[in-house]
Amino acid sequence: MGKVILHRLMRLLATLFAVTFLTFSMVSLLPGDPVDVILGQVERTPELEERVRSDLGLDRPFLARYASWLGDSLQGDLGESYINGQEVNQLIKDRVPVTAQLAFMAIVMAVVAAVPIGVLGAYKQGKWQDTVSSAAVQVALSIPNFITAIFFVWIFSVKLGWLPNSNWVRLGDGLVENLKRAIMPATALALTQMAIFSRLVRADMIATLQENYVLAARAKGLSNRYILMRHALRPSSLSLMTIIGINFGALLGGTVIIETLFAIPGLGFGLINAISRRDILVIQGITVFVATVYVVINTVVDLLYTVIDPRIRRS
Amino acid sequence: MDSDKPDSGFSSVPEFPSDRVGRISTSVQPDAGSRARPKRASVREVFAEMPLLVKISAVWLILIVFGAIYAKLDVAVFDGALPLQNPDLQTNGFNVDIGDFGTGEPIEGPSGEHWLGTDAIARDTFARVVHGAWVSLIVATISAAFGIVVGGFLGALVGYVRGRTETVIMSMVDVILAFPALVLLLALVSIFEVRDLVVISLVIGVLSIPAYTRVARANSLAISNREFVTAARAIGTKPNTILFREIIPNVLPTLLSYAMVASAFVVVVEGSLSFLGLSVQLPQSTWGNMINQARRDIKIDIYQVFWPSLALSFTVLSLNQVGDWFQKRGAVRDSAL
Amino acid sequence: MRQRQLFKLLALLLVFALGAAACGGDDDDSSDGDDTTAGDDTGSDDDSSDGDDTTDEGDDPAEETDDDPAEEGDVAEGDVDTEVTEEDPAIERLYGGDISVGLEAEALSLRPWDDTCSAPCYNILTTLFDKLIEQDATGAYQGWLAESIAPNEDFSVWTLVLRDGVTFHDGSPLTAQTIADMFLVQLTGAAGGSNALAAGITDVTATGDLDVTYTLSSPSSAFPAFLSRAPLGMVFEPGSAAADPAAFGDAPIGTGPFAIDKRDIDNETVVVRNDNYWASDPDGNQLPFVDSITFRPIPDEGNRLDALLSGTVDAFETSRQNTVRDARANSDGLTLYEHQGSVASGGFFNTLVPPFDDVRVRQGLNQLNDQDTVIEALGGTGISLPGSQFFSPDSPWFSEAVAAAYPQFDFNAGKALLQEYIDDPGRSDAKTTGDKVDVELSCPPDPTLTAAMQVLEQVWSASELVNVTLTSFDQATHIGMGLSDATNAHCWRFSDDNDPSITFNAGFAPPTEEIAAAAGLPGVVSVVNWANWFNADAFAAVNAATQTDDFAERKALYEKVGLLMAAEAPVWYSGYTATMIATEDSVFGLNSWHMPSGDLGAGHPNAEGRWAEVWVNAG
Repeated sequence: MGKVILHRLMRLLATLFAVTFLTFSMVSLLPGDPVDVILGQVERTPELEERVRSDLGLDRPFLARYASWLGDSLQGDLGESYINGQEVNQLIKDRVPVTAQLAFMAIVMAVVAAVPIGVLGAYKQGKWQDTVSSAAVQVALSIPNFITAIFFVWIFSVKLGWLPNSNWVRLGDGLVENLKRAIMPATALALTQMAIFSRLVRADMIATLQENYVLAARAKGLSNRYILMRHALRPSSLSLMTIIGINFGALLGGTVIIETLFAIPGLGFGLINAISRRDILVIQGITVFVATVYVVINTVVDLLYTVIDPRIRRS
Repeated sequence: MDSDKPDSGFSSVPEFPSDRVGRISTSVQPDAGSRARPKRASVREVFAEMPLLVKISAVWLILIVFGAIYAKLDVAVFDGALPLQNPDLQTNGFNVDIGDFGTGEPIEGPSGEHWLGTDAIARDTFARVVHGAWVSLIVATISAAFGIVVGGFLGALVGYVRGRTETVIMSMVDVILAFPALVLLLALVSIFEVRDLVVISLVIGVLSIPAYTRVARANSLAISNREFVTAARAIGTKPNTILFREIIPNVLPTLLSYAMVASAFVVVVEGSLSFLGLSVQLPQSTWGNMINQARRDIKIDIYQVFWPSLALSFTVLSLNQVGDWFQKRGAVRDSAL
Repeated sequence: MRQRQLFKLLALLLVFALGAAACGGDDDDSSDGDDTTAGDDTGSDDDSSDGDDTTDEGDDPAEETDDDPAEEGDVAEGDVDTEVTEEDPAIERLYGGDISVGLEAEALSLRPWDDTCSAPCYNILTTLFDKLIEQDATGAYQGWLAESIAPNEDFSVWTLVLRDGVTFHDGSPLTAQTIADMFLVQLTGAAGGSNALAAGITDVTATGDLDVTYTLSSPSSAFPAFLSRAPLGMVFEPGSAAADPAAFGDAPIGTGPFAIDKRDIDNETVVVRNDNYWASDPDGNQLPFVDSITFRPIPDEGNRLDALLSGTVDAFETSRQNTVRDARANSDGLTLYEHQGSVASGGFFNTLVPPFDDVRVRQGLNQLNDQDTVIEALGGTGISLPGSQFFSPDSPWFSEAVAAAYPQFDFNAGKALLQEYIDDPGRSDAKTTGDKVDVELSCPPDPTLTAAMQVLEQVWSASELVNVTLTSFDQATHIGMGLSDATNAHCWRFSDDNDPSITFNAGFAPPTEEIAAAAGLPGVVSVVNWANWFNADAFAAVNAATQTDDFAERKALYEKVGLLMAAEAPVWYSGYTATMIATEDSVFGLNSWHMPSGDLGAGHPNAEGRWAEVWVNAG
């Protein structure tokens, strides 16, 4: 077990190394003089040009630059925006809670809806309940979230006037107001997740229901509901946990369009703004951050899975 | 090991679809005795086997493919002679043929002439939806081909060879996987100003490698333990021969049905890029850029947003349906053997 | 004529003009979108009947919806009108209230000397900072924080006297020395530095407690215009700005009617009433009226309007014609403040690059520029007027002569000109005679701009003499390409409502060293001569216009430039930029803020709202 963990952590380090390296290379791979690209839009003074050059260390070899950038990053210094001087790590700090909240809400809503749907599908496998819920799930899976969002706004903000479509309120500034604004974007994100989760639960439970110990429990005359909850759902929840962890990490980078549509000051909105302003260090910082979180969550989930799952421990 | 867990490393949000991978990996049963080369069913037989919803989906996909090719032929070969309106013709603009302005109207509802109405610059929405299918088709095909050839081969290889090769290749694959696809695409497309359909498709293809690699690897692992592979090895067949003759042909069907599901995701990714105005060169229509453009005038006519949204969603739905069905079918056949 | 290497000033103004496009798009909806669709009925009947209405106008949805007796008198029926009027004195001026304003973009930071300031940024910054000079309703410049400003004989030295008793938000007093210290900070900023260069300021000295002397390297009769814009004109506390410029961006200190309360980038910027503000309205009411203003960047055009319609915000601004159209159609309970800006949209040709170095190509493409259809594609039919020059018909600088001289759409004439070029054995693009001309047309990826771009593509291609390629790069790249001359035919917005000299002086200087040398003006090179079009007569006229303060004389000079441009066609126009600020109809006073002299101010040019004199009266 210890060896497995060590091995996995080594791989994590290697992956992080590669990820940061590739992201950093983006700046170096920019066509033309990076200073031109970076300063394309802002007013350029010789001092600013000089600052960019020395910040990027363009006079030094690529690897040396990478090493010092990596060193700074490890100490939490991702540089600062050329557009408004904001520190990139501060910017990320301000935005992570917002995106994390959306991702968290989306996941929670998705799980709450997905488990009953999945269980129902498995329990009534092949019956009309299964057919209907599977079809609904398929539809939810197939509508891209930006389309959902467009129609949500049209219905709930414009036609009905129930929910605000912008004016984000941070969690700390009022829970109710915050939730009123978070509910539409989070639901748009949640629908896809719900579809994924419920399919997983359904498939997993169908598989578990075939297992010997479940058949044995049934033979003992235990009630179906008891079997479903006690014996089938609990093992299934392991793989659900896995994908929840991974998808949470993925959502941190997957809210770009939704945040832009609803003007939510999260990581995705920050990234899109940085891209349109060509704020290279911000793009680089957010990309590295999102990728890192994703890789780390992935590893943690992997390890937990290895540690917890009896089936894997046995083998 | 992480690779054995059901949904290792995929997520459908910015990554490739995953909830099916678990089942795919078990679709070839290691204990099943004989060689998995069932007699090929004819297309008609396969179609007959499909449930109604899957049938509808399959018909829709065929229509989309046919429509896309038809539209392309119309422009590229027949110079607009086929019966489909010119998707780029602004029917209110100056028309050389009549030496005057056209009589079309922008943002019009459906009519006999314009089945789905017209867009903000009086172009025929139906023709643009049909032409938009071409972009989705190309992106899906190229990226799937790339994923299958590169990712599939790598996966089949490491599943068979194992050892250090496996560790190295799978670690590289993990690196690609670490990037949220949409974030990386956005960065690449905007920084390097990529507007070429093929290049965009290839980038998406590269990002899809990990998914294909994992699927192929799981299947390759299972197949490598089968009797016919063991037997081939015992009689001294060269590893290369085993890989190309035994492993890959058996991995391929699963990969192909996975490709449909993956393509559903690719179509959404391209739609997202187009929606942000960062995909192919105008005036080529794509469903995403049609939605984006029509959204501006949604207060006047919401249907101009609705039609491309419907085409996009229904295509994604169909790819999922058909892909799932083929996977299920493959699994059933295999386990029955 | 001194060394003016980099005239970057215009970049600021133009960057802003394009600013709205970036994230583009809209979202949404409408309570009556479905029923207002004019096209539904007409189109479905039969197409043969369409023949009679070739002038598309009757079916424009915006006009259609004007039928409903929508609104009060201030909602324009036809094209956007720029008139500034007094608010009804019967409406009681009330104190208190909080308003929130949806902006099309975030102000990058709150440092007036450093960052490119656009319309949304001006909305925020003018609540925090006062300018030395403001423009009044007639377009003339009057003192704001300055009590007076006067030139010497040849306009090379300007003496400004500050208002007495003005204090910053932190309590420190405004003195002449503040202005001198401020100049040193301004020089370090990207925007301030380039503006100082463009204005030719060599020295700013405090010559008394409240007397400041500006010394210019080259005389300019329009110098006060520079002091009416953010980079040189907005007064900030120089001590803290110099100490930590980055921190100042989050916690700015000015003398404005409001002070910063909260700055959460890309989410909200909250400003609260400055109880010690120096100004009052003509009736003697201490300003400002409202307690606080929250500015919200909502980049999505449709969502921003919906935020207003659903009451999520109390006001919004836009510079998109289609949004103006939609706001008009949904104006129940709203007050619309429209403005036909002297911001001419269209594009420029890179006249240094073949085939655009040949006037026949430029003029030909201009004659093939189908302005009405382009404006229709922009959603601006009945809103924006077709452009013919840098000034809108509402501007005092507008010239009828130039309007008449600008080429009208004439397909055959345009085609003939292009044909002439194509058949010319000495054609500048070195292609074989008879080959089509290549045009690469580039606009930012905004749904509105790309629609307009595709209209041009169709009509240019229809000549069968032009190969048009469309490209679309993100905002930043697009502007960068304009600056670096990596262009061919480039979407652009020109000019603003400021004094013409600010746009013209740099915009018509020689684009390269070679051209400058050939013209006998070594070292006078401008990177913001977008079209790279140099005409010695035009440049001479532009310079002469800053040597006199006689309006008629100046107008004649700018008219001459306009006529030369109409003849040489380095740029093409679509429509003027119609902008709008719309508020709940309980919000008053945006149109009628006053100068300290009691005259009406400039209103809300290009969606730059002034919020000091705004009040809320729900009764």
